[in-house]
Amino acid sequence: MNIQLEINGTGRQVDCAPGTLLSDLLRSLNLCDEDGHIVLLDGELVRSDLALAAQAHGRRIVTVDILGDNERLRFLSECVPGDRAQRTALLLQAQALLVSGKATDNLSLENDFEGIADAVPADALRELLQRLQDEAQPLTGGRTC
Amino acid sequence: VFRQLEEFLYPQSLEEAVRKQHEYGDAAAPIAGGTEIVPDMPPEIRCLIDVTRLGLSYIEDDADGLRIGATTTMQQVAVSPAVAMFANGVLSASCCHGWPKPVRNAATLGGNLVGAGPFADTPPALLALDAEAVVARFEGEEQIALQDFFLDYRRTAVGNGILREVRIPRPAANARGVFLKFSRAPGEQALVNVAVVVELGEDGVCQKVRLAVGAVGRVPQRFQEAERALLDKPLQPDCIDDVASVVVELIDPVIDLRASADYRRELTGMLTRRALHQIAS
Repeated sequence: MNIQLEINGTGRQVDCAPGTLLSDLLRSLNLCDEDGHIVLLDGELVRSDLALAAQAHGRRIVTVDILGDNERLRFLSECVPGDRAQRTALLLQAQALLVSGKATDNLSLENDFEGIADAVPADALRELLQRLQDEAQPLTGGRTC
Repeated sequence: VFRQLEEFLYPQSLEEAVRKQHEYGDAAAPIAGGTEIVPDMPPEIRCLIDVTRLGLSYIEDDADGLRIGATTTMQQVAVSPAVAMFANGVLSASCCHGWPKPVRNAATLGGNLVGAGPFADTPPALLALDAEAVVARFEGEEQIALQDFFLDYRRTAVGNGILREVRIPRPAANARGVFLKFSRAPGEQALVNVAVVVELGEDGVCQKVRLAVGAVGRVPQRFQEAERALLDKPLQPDCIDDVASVVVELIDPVIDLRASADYRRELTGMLTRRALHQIAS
């Protein structure tokens, strides 16, 4: 079947079997590493290994590659005791909140990051958000790392 | 890749979705978030019907109560102020108990019900709220009390219909509810979950009681004998102990790798007592 979707700001048409997992599709496009099952689907964090590619037809997907920076991941790894999957979720949620126009000052660490950044010191999280906001990288372009 | 799947359909209306489901019968299943069906794809399924584009994601609060569309996500239900107002947010609590946000953002209330997993968290809460399911069928619409909804392990009364919405009657102003779950770790399936809704009179006497337990049998269920044991009685420690004993007597717990029957009995009694004590306080 043919599905159309937008991945990291780029429209794509993809041929895939109806039973293809979204994570397998992203991996075939080199947009999903072994820990990178978390993506934004229409702005919401979801697990791509629990969804079929066909479910994403007509929708927008953002992978952590959109951020294109190992520098921010390194910064995170200094302050996040969790694994790469947790850091991915944290980065994408932060990006989604900033893209939605929510001001850094109005973010609630308990609600906006509940279950995602429980082990992250609040100061480190605010610094991350500030960095993302300062750099204001637009959600366009493809894989950059 | 699930090679058994031959088709993935995007119906434009609920009527079209119902027609397709009727045509394909047991070889088709609706899919919304996918978190129920994708990890546990039934072998007979050849066709999936996407129901996320049919306008079934809503929470409406009217004079009669709440109407929640089948594809409303667990996250949307969990953070809804309207849902939180119903019996202390017993349903809200059941939607966010330990599940990570990426799962709650995709999983839907309809999927949690139709999946009919015995360990699901929302069914006991909805049973305690006297909810009913509205199912769209080829022959017409049907309303099914949740008590009659779960037929057996992963089998519901929806059959070849499509769940459209869940209706929850407005509880009395004095209704208080509690949902409690015990699992080995956050995000894991319940070993036992309990939902209780009680209407207390001004004198502290129970006027109406709903008590439902999940994860102990093949289906979640209400325990009406235990509910009756509390009617017209105050929520005092001795009454609470009596009711917890009745529940423990009535259950016939499943045994699996995670817990023995005796352990589940112990947990059920403990959670029932704890829930009732929380309501009393």
